[in-house]
Amino acid sequence: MANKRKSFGMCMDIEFPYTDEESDISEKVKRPRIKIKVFSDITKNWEVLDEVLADTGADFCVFPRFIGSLLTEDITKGKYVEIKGVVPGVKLIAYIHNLKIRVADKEFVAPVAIADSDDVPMIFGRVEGLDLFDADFFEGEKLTLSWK
Amino acid sequence: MVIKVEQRFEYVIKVEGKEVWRGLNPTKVFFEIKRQNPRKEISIAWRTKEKVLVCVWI
Repeated sequence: MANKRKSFGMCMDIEFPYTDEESDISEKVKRPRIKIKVFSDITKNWEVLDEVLADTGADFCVFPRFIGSLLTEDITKGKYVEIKGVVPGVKLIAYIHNLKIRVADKEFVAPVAIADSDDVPMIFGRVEGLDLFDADFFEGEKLTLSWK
Repeated sequence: MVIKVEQRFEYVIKVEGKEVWRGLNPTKVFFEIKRQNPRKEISIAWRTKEKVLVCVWI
């Protein structure tokens, strides 16, 4: 079977080294964190979001409330959703907004769940996010995102 | 009686990648830092002291 990366043809890519973070389980844990830009309807500029967790376990991108308020006038105007994780019975209220996102030179529109809480990480999830890229999580050291 | 609430997360504002502010409410300071640095890249990050992060789905 052909290597998907080779069959990708001419492509661009960007690398993000994993960052060392504290862990209860091991001394350190490395996490794939990326820098993205999101267009703000408030400032009419591309705002830079740093240390966003690239999370293949997340269906959608998720931003905390302040970040949402920086990007859109009223976060509650998005579609109401309840985000669930692995903790039974716990739900987080969020609102889906279609936001313009840039990863390096690649620009796209993705549905983003803006949480009604600030106690929520910035997450770059799969749908219209990571799935747009050939994502290579290389040996727990770096994430390379490639695209045509 | 004083009730101390543990701060589990914080926002971090960076100018050209260098941290210049940390805290819970970046609303005013973010726009002030942007105003003071009109030609520089201002970025914002969210950090937690929680030591395990897990997946989410909707």
